Formats: sequence, C-alpha cells, structure tokens
Amino acid sequence: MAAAEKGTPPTAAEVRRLHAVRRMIFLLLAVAVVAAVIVPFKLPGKPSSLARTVFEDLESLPQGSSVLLSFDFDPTAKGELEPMGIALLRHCFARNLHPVVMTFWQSGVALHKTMVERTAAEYGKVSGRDFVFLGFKPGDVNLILNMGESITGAFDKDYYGRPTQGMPALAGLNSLRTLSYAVCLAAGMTTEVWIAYGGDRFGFPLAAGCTAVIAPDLFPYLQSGQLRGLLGGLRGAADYELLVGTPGEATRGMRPQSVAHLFILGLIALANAEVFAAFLKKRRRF
Amino acid sequence: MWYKRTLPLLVVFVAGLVGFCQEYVAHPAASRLLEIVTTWFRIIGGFALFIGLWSLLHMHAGRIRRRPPGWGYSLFVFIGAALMIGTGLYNSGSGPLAAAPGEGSWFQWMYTYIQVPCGSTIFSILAFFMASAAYRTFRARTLEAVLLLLAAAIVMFGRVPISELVSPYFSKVSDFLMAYPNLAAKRGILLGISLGAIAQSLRILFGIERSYMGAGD
Amino acid sequence: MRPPADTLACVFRLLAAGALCVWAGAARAGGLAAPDASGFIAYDRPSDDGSAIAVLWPLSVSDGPGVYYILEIASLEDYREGVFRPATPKPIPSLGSRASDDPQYCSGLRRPETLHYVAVFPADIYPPSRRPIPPPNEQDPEDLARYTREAGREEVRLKEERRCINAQTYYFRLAITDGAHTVYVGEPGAPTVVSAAAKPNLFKGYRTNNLVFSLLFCAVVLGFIRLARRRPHLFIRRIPALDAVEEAIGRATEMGRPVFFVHGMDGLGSLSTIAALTILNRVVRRAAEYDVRVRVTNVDALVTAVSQEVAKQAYTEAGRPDAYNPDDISLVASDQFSYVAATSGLMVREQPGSIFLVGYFYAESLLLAETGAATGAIQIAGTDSYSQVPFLVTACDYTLIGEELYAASAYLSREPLMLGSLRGQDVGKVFLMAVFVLGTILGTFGIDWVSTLFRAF
Repeated sequence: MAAAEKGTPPTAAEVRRLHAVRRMIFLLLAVAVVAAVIVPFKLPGKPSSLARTVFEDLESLPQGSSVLLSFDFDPTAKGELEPMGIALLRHCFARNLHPVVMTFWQSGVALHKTMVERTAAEYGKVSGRDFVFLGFKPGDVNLILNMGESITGAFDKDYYGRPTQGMPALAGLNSLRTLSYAVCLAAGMTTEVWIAYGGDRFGFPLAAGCTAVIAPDLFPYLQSGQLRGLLGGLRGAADYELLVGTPGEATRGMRPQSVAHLFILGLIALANAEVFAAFLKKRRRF
Repeated sequence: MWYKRTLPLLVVFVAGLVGFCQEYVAHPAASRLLEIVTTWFRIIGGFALFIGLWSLLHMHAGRIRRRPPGWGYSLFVFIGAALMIGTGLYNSGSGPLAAAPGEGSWFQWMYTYIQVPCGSTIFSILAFFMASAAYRTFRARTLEAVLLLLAAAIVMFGRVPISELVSPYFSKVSDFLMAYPNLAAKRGILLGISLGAIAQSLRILFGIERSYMGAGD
Repeated sequence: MRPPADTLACVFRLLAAGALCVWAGAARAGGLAAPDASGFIAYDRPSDDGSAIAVLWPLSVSDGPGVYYILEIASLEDYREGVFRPATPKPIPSLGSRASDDPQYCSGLRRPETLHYVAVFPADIYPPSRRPIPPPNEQDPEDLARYTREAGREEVRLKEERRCINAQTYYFRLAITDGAHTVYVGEPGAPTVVSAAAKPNLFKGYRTNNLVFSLLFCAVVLGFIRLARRRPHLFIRRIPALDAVEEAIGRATEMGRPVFFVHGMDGLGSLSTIAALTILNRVVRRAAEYDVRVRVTNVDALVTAVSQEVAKQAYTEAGRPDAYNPDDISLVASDQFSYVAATSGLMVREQPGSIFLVGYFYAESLLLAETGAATGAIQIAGTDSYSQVPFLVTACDYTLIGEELYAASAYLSREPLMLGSLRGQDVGKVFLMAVFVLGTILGTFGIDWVSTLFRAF
C-alpha cells in the first residue's frame, strides 16, 4: 500500500482507493493489449546476437544432419515456446536437416505432436524418413545417460509405435556422442539437466530456448560456453522467426508486448509524478 | 522411543552419507544405486498422491457439510475430480489397465480444452498483476529505489523492438544490465544459498535440524 | 680463391644432399610426417565408469589445415584377422582434439597442449545386438504388460553387454592424411599398434578439489557447532523478516483474522521446504498461544502430511491440542496454476491478517503476493528461488532472501548448535570472498592457478 507504513493496517479508504486504481489499471491494460492485437503496425526487427548464433549454427550443419529438439514445456508455456519450436522446425525442414523431437514433459506431448505434424505437413516431410517424433519417456537424467549410450536403445520406438532401429531419419545418429546439434526449449530447469548430463558429458553443441522469466538464469552458461545461444521468451521466438523468414505468432505477439511494456513504463512514470508532486507540496508547506 | 527418534535420524544420516559419496564415485554401481533410489522415490511419491487427494476431498466435504460462505466452490472440486477420474478410468471403453487416454478421449478433451486454458488464463493474470505491482511499488523514495527504477525502465524498454526506433543502445544496455550487474548479484545470492544449503544439510544429517520429522525442536 | 674442381665437388655434394632430401620427402608420401610412434599410447581413461579408452599421440610437423588423423580400432577377433575400423565417426582435425581441450580427464598430463587426445567408446563402435521384441497391442493390457517386461529386461541385458564390450582389450593404429596421401604411425608397412582395455574406476579424480573443499567446509561448520557448546551466546545480526513474525501474528490477532501460510511448489526434498516447516512450527505455536487460526495451503502431498504433523505437534506444545484442525492444513491443488487459483480464492474470501509465503516459487510468486497485498495483509516471504526474489521483495513487506531462509531455524530457536553452524557458514563465505578477490587480481595478470584450483566438473 503506497500510503500505509509497514506493519500498519491500511484504512478502509485506502483499501477502496487501491481496489479502484487496480481495476482501472487492469481495464486500461486490457484495452491497450487488445487494441495492439487488432490494429496492425510495423515494428523494427533486429534479431539478437544470441538468436543469430543458434540460427547460424543450424545454417552451418550439413544437410541430413540430425538435430535433437527437446520440447520440455506444457501448454501453460505455449505462448512463448510454441512459436520458438515451430520456427526451429521450419528452419530444420527448410535446410533438410532431420529434427529428432522428444520431451520430458508428459503433459505437453499432444501439443508437441501437433506442432511437429503441422510444420512437417507444410514442407511435405515424412515421419521416420525426414524427422522423428519420439514423444515422452520418463527418466530425466537416466534417460539422457541412456541416450548417450544408444538413442534407439533409449527409445526403441517412436511416438507412433514404429521401431526406431533402422529409421532413415536416425541414420548416423547412434548416440548423443554423434549428435550434430541440440536445442532444449524449457519452461523449467530442464536445460540445466541437458547441460550437465548432455552437452558437457557427450560433447555435442547445445542451445536453449526458455520463457523470459528464466532466461537470466541461463546467462552463466552462455558466458562459460556450455550453451551456444539462447532464445529468451517471445522476443527470442520473434527474432528466430525473423531470421528464418517465417513471421508467425511471436512476431505478431511483439505488438501487444511492446504496448504492454510502454503502458507499465507510463504507469511507473505516473506513480513517480505523484511522489514528486507530494514532495513539492511538502516543501512548499515548509 | 528409539524408532520414532533415533531410527529416522540414523536413516537420514546413512542415506545422506551415501548420497554424498555417490557424487565422487565413478564406478557404474554408484549410478545404478542412484537409478534405483530415484525410481523408488517416484513410486513413493505416487502413493503419496492418495494422501493428498484424501486431504483435499476431506477438507471440501467438511465445507459442504458446514456450509460456510463460498461452500458452493467445494462442489466443483468433487464434480471436477469425479469427471476426470471417471473419464480416465473409463478410457474410451478400454478400461484403466490399457494405454493412457490418448487423443479423442473425453479425458484428453477436458484436459486440452478446459484445464489448459484455465491454467493459461491464470498465468496471463500475471501481466496485469505486474502492472499493478509496478504502479504500487516502483516509487523513487530512496537512492536504491531510484537505481532500481532506472534499471527496470531501461530493461523493460530495451526488451521490445519498439526501442530500436528511439535508439539501438537501449537493447544493448538492457543486455549489459542483465548479463553483468544482474548476474553478479544473482551469483552473490546463489553463493550464499549454496553455502547455506550445505550448512543446513549438515544440520539435517547430524540430527540438529529435525523439523521435517514433525517433531519441532 | 678456391680451385674450380673443389667448387664443383661442393656443388655436386649439395645437389646430392638435396636429391636425398627430396627422395626422403617423397617417401613420406607427399610431405606428410606421422607423429613419433613412441608417443602413441592408449590407456584406460581415468576417473570414469569404464566406458572409454583414452588415446594420446604427440603433435606432428604436418599438422595444419586440411590434415586429419584417422584412428582405427580392432577387437581381438578383428585384430587377429587384421581388420580395423574407424574409432571416431569422422576424421580428427589435426588442429583440434588437444589434451588441453579436456581438462576433466587430462589435467594430470605434462604439457597437454602438445598432445592430441581422443576418448574412444568401444560399445559405440561394437554395439550389442538388440533382440527384437514384438510390438504390443495397446488395447490389450496383458500384452502391454508383457511388452513392458520384455523391453525392461532387454534394456538391462543391453546395459550389461555394453559393460562387457567395454571391458575387452582393443587395438589401435593411427594414420595421418591430407586426403591424397595417408601415412601410418610406425614403420612403413608395419604400423604401430597399441592396446588397452577400459576399467571402471572408483574415484572421480577430477572432483578431488571439490571433495577437499567440501570436507574443509564441513569441518569448519562442525567445529563451530562444537565451539558453540562452550560459548552459547554467539552474535547473529538482525533479520527483520524473522523479527516481524511475532508482529505479523499479533496483527492478525488484533484484526480477528486468520494467518495464512503458503508453501512453495517444491516437495520435501527441497531445503527451502524444510526451512519453511521450521517457520511453520514457530508460527503455529505462537498463533495457538494467541488463539488465532492458521491456514496452511500445500501443493505437494508429502509436504501436506508433514505440515499436518508439524502443526499438530506445535499445537500440543502450546498446550492447545484441541485447536488443531487437519482441514486447515490441506492439499489445495497439485498443479501450479490450480494452486494459485485456489490459494488466491482462499485469500480473497477469508481475508487473512498476515500471510507467510515460504518455499521455492516459480511464476506464481507475484500472483500470490499481489493477491495477498490486495487483501491488506502483512506479508512475509522467504525463498531461495533467486529469479522470484525481485517479485517478492516488491510485493511483500518483508522478504527472506536465500540463506536467510535457511538461517530461520537457528534465528528463531537461538539454539547454540544451530547458531554455531551459521558462524561456520559465514567463515566459509569470508574465505570464498578472499579467494574471489585474490583470483581476480591474479587472473588479471594472467596467473590462473586460483581458478584452476576451483575448477568444477
């Protein structure tokens, strides 16, 4: 409460005022965000260097290389990570790479399946030949260690029940040691598990995508080189869509996000204007 | 009684010591042990779900009996639980022992079109709450508050593409603030947390800290 | 002036020497020089689980762009027949693969930057054969169970086979190539062959520094705990959030409203949850004395069970066993945002006088804190989730950050043994701060033994 001191219960008038202000803020923010979604306007696009690193790494892979995509999120993080995943899949399919998609989050399997199938259909790609959707398997660390010994051993069949042994999309990918590249899209701390038990142990290059809130947690791994690049939040997804040349949901989402940020900055300015006005009033009194 | 006090403390000490040693042993027997312990932990956690479910339903049943204000919400708990458990067990006619409910099942439909949107809705409220929290608390009353305010403003503005229209330096400064001062502070906190965690773990291992046993001091 | 005959002889000798050099160079296949065979060795990779063999060889004068090494491996049977196969998926670039690139397993070598190093995993090259298992009929539970059993047994069998494969002796030979010419290490026509077998090792040598520092820190903490027995009145700085616990419960009593205690998302395996249980004990005991209701919300079933026990014990210790109501300490949801919705709803309806948000939080921290702020309650938060600390600091009246949460049990109980452990922890922190300063200064001048000493794998 702005006017209440710590430990002092707020008065009824303060509570009523706060509730009214909060409701006004919520209403104005909703109107601003909806307007930004409905009214199209152009925003400058300059992808970050971290997104560019991931893009250039995938660009440099020879055609036919396997790229492991670990989609470790569920529908609650769909807003930020689904566009990221789709942009990565589009990039892989456009470059004739073989994405191998898996997840540690059982609750997200249906979402990931839809993402993979829809994107594959856009490029006419066939499951088993051009990509593999392995689905979910429990095990976390143990699963990664098993994949480090043998991918087909860890996942003896794909999500659709077809044996992975001999699959053309997995040709040359015996274990994580022969993996060309991996990207982990995580809504939780799965990236750190992939770093410690995947990239560090088996030596494959690893990049990450995550929700905006946990992006700062992954900066130390960028600085140490354990992560090649990072796609952070909706902005990271929009950057990647721009690089791949397929603007989608994330690019469209930048409009309401920009408006929301500006709105909050305006609120902060207004709140401090009130503080400043009160300060001047106090000074004049003395 | 020794089995209420001493035995649990002994189990904690031995298990903790084994876990500590396992980190330094390269032999595959150590990773096998970790696998076994992790599997058992998952199994026990699964059984604990029944305790939680009983607790939830018992509490709401009491509310329905007593009819305090808002008791109607407790009916929804039972309706929701009955629907999800029922459709899960029915499993499109295959029964509970067949493969987990897949696409097209009522269970999956309710999860995808009711539970997930509800979760996303609650998550989206975060944006509104951030706005109201920012208005309420980001006031420049002290020097520290001013610094926080400036950093927050630069980072918020630098994170959106619209800042490129004003100056390309906003995103660069924003990245710098997140990568250096913010990270330095985080590392400092993390260091304290790590050392505190070791000290706390030692207290638990040696039985000095016993609150988790429900025994108080 | 030299006589013309001597000059001619000199020129002829020079020409002959040059021709000899050219011929010797041609014998080395287009200028490629294989590394010294005496430096080509294979041995069990140390400090591992017996899955890898390490192969080392010195640099060659021919190392450069476009030049690669081909490492070949043969099992005993293949070696007897003279059949070798590539040990690595791709040829090894001569400008990479230095032992200095893998300090985890090569730190004990002298001058690792002058050696090439490759870890070979025999089970990848000679994989065990997988027995096909008929896929199950997913609508038949018995068939599903059969498949699960057989697949599980097959995985165990394959793992055991891989261990047996790794334990055998393998033979290696090495060649250098520029694409056009290939020269084997050793005598022409008789390449040098080295052999080794992988063995599981007991100790992870690369974690020796970690073990030493851990034991040292443990010794310091235990030492101070022991010291605290003799000097029970150790000074500990004020932690305002913990001092405010009494005030918060008192305020709820004055307002005639309940106290809310909200656990974080993590389970009983998390230290912050254990610290939260200590604070819960104090809160319930004090609330029982003031006859204030305590409502505890949980997201984990095990934490619910333990919280109920803690609360029951606290009510008993306060002399109010009748006040304990298990329905006040319940699981409200097991999903993150369902938990937020349920807890927020409870806060808005029951209008608590004070709220404790203690544990490990994720994205729901601000949702809970802001809802609590809207009710007008005094809020005390405590978390070791450093990404959520800013939200809780902003929205709550008091916040315990990181280790302050772990110190809660010592601070609130004032037990000498616990205070002693805090003092030991602080000594450890001072030591680390000194190491940081020293390491930074030395590192600035290129002296990096401090960072090497603290390197973690």
